[in-house]
Amino acid sequence: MTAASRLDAREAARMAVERVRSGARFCWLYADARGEAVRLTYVTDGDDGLEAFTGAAGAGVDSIAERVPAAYWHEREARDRFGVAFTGLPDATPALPPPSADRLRRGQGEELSVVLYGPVRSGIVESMRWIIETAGEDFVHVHPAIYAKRRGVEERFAGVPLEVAPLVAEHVSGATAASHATAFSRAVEDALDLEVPPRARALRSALVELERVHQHLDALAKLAEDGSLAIGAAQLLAAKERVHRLLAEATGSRFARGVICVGGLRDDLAPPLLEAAERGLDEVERHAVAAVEGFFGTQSSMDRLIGTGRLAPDIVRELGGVGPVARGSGVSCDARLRDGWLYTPLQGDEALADGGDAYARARVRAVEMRRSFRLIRNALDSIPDGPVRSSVPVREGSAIARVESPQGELLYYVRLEGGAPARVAIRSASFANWPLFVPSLPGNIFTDFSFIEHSFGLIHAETDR
Amino acid sequence: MTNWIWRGLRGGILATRYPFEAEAMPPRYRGGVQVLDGAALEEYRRGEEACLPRALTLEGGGARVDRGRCIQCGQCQRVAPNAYRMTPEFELALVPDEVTAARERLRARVAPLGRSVHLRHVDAGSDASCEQELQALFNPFYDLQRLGIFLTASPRHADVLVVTGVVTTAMADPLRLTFEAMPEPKIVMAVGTSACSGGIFAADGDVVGPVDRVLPVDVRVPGSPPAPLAIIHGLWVALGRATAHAREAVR
Amino acid sequence: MSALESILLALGVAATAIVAAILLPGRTGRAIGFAGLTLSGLCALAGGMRALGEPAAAFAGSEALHTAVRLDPLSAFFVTVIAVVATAVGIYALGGRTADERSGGGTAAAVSAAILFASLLICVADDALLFVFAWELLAVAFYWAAGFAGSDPGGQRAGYVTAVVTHAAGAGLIAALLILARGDVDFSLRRLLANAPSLSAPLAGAVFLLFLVAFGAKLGAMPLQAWLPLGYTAAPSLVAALMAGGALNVGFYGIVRFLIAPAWPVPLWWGMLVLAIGGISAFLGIAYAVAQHDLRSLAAYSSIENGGIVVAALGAALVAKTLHLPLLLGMAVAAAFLHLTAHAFAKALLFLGASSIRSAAGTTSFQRLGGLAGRLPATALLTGVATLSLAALPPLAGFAGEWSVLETLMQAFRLRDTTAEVTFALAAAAIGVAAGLAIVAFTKALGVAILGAPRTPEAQRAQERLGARAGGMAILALGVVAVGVFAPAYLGWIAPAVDGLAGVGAARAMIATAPLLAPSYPGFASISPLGLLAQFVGFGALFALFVALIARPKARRSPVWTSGNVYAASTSYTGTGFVNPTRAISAPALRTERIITVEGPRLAPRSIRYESRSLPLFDLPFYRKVAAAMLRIADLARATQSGAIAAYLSYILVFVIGVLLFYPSIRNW
Repeated sequence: MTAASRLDAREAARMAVERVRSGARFCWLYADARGEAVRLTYVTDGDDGLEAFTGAAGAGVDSIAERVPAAYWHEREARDRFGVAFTGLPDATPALPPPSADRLRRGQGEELSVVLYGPVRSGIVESMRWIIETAGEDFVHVHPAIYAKRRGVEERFAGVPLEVAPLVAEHVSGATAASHATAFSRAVEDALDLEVPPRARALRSALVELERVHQHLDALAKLAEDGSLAIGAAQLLAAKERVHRLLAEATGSRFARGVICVGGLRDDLAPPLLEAAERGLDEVERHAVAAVEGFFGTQSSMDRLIGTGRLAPDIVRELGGVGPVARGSGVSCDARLRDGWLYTPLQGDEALADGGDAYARARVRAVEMRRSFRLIRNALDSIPDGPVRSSVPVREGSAIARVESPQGELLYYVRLEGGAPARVAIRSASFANWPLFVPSLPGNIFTDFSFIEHSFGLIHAETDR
Repeated sequence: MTNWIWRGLRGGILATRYPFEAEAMPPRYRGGVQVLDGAALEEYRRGEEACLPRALTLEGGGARVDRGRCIQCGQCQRVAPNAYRMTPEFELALVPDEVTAARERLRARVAPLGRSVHLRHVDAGSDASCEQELQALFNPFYDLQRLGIFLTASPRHADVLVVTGVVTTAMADPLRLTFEAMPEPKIVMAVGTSACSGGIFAADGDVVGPVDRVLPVDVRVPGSPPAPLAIIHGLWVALGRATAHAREAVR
Repeated sequence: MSALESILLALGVAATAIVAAILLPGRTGRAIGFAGLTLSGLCALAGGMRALGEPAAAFAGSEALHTAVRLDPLSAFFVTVIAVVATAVGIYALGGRTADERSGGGTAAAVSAAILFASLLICVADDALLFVFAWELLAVAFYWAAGFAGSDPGGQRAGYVTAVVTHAAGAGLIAALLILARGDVDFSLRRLLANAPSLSAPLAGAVFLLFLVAFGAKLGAMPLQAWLPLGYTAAPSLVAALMAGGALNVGFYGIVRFLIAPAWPVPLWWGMLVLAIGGISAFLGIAYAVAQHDLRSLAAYSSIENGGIVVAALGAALVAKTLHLPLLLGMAVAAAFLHLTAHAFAKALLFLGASSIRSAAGTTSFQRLGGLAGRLPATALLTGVATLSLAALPPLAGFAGEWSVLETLMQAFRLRDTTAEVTFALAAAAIGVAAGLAIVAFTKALGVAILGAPRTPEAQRAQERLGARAGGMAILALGVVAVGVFAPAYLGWIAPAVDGLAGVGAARAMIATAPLLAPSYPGFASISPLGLLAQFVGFGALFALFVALIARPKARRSPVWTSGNVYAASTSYTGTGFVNPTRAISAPALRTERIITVEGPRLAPRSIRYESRSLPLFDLPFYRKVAAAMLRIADLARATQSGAIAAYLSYILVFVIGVLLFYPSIRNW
């Protein structure tokens, strides 16, 4: 990843826009405040990989949101959290603290009513507020109001000893704890120029791929449940349960929490993981694949997904979509291919689909799940010997690291000061993807809503942080 | 077309018989913390320093565990294996300290509920893992409905309010409104360490605190996240059909 | 005082009231005008009720002034219905000036008295010139009401459209009467109608069509309906009550008197045409009603629907006349009369309710009402009765009327003519669909406007100020319930009007099994409105007892649950939202235009304006084309009126030469 530091954020913005114009994807805009001075960093992903352009915000900077729509919410958050003035930012309403429904309503005319969907919704779901303006059964305007679950996790990292800091990362999104802990640790390791032993890299990749399996099963189970295919959902959830039990056996935590740390892994998990895999991985895979195949073989469920929540590829590219959501519209975006951090490279092409509808996204997840099993076996079949952890020096430094979490590309920025993180910024896949939700709604009716939501598979905890 | 009937029958019965029969988590599972006797003071202190949510306090010649704060990371065991040990126990549910009174109140409230209850869940600011473990309760391995416990969407039909996550500022009012929308008798259960005690989050601008800052909590089920079996135990305690093993003060 | 004298007294009082309301200033004029309306209504009611049971009476008056009037049971029936509505409206109006009357309200009073006067005169006139005079007077009164009595803007245009259509209709009336006259100088209507059988078929057909256009326009039958919603909503609501509940019925009177009553041979196509018009009006009328944003325009379109149902019944009567089925004829007419009574009372009540809502909440637009059941309990209850009757729910009058009409159409199998049977079936289907849509429309009216929570501060602040006005509404509400529950008794009472037309005791046959109501053919079907009422009351009481006896735990009040949000009025379903699925289904008939205007950058729109409009098939654009054509003809004709003496002299010369040439043949016409 290349970083370029400029004196002025305006120039950094300009360079980022230039990259986007020549085909790169806009990833991120984050702010880092040192005392009074706020520095903005624009991150793009092009043919040459991740590039970051940093500059001092100074009095203010022009908004690039009109030219690069993907930057819109990043600018709003930087404005509300760090007080950076963005000239020409389309919406003056603060996004933080989350505004009331009245301030978010845009519909005029006496025929519109508002459906306040959430934050407390039916079922065991995360809290999120949707302000849906409708004139009956259609969507006139939908406003997803994020930040209901904002806990200020990024600030929580400050000053936490590196030994236990990955635990904070695991709290950002507990369901994808391995991805977050890995991304955080990788960022620190890059900042410290620390090499992680190959044994640890193999184990980390196995854990992240196991996480991908259980998250994809979760997404498909929710889609089955939406279509009232209770038995399909039950089988998919049972397959997911088997993965968690495997992880509990091998790592001591059903979500592989508390084992990934800066420098490698806290314990040598190879023996228990190999043992657990030997005992049960075949069965886990068999059940998972059978459940997924069964789901796709149920025509009535597939009928609800085909054509629902269609996303055109240009909208995905314009708004910087990542993960299965992007791949479902045929937009290539897999961090595993780009960075080669995995112990074994990703075999075959990434899972891409046409169609851009909920069905395509589900298919992408199904294919990825099967490939994950292959990757896990590859990693476990040839775990190199050696230590499982490098010792962590105390140095200053900062870096950006990227991991392909089950939801998509996850970016962490860490700046170290005195042996502890001074600033941690997180751009989760869910934060990148949720602006795509509204463009996918037109042409659908109310009952399609949960299918589209679950086909996105977003985790609100990592959006709101 | 998939033949689900055949598949289901072939799959057999997966459901556990817990709580009617004993169950066990795998031996490596990090459930609860046990303070070992006879270690050096230095070791107890090392463990206490290593604990991010500050669940350990030095007391007497040893240490005390606030189970409501433990995030099951196992750091204490790693840095001071002679002083602390993680055990695979999962029956970690807690009821408030004023034992007799609280338990009596709980029992009085639970009696009219009979044997079947409905749960209403509210996510007050969790990290999404507690939700997935709650959802797991309805998978074939745990099948909560065999115990007469069901999920409901309307708080008007709910008996137990299950809250996950530390309460964020934006979710405090919705949580309160949900509680007020439930008719008596009702029970509040905080699931997850963040909900029980705030865990690694202290009250500040965005965070109000653990659930008991907003609502009266009857049962706490710590864990990060708590295993489904632990949540079942918690529900059983809430329904007065099991006793909490530990009665710890929650700071 | 005889019945006829009562009617004449009523006419005199009404005329005095018109003059008094115009001459006396402001409040006094209004009070005297409406007092006169009430008194006139009472006299007419007394006269009508008596005359129903008596043989026909006539009053010649002055030959020169063409004041011949005749009161037979048919006229008496219509007089009674109109009189009840007028009395109720008068009593309501005496309770105080309503919000949508212009200035002091004197105009409204004068106009109401004029409408009553003209309607009564139409029903009893026995002189063609008097009839035409009364018809034109009614048209002028409508123009006056729409254009000058209401306080809403847009009245001028509404008045203009009303005047144009009713005048065009009036022209048809005059032409038809002229053809009937066949060159005779006798203006007596009775004798004119006696001429009818001797008309040749094409002439009879022309007369039929002209009468149909004239009376259909008054009823708002398709395609002449565009003026009705405009006129009814521009006039003050209480005057609209009289227009919709009272004056509308003269259209039905005209059809019965001029098309069904004369002893002429009725070809089959007449009845089928009338049936078709009735069915289409019923369906389209209510389809448009569903999409309205305002209570009064919904009521206006509902009048079109109910008018269509009655017209369909009258069409069935015409078919029965053709096929010589007097029992069916009588039943059809009885059903028509029952339904038109139900509609008159319920619609007048609905408009009075709208007037009260307007005075209390400042608007009758659905999106700005809500929660009135709590704030205006009496108005809500009485308006509720009207909506339930218009939605044809038992045991109210609307149900009895619609049931009777549908039962009439069910007798298709007795017709023994395939085309007629098919037409009956199609009309029945159209009315059935209309009944379903009526439920949607009135659920919207009741649910969105009256139930639920207030949507605006005005609705929240609404205060019940009914007072004496409740009396007027209560009369109509009682009428709606009574005519429904005691429908057999009502039919027995109006039997002379029906049986006079059919010649057999058709109405009496319908009530032969009282308290059950049945078709005039025995053993076919029956309903018992009284029994239904007894069931409702009985089960209701049983349930209340049950609830009172069972111990319930102490209740606690808690706010409405809305996903963890504080309840906001903006989350209430709007009227448009409620009927959206219905609109989607009836899209071919209801061409709905949805206009969404987005303002602001794409990422963060500042505002999104949403408006929907439903465009009826025959509406002002269609009329504009017709009007343009007529204006062009008028322009051509105007060329003859050049004002030059030479031109006029040459016209006279041409005319005299023509008469001299053709006199011999003219003599033998």
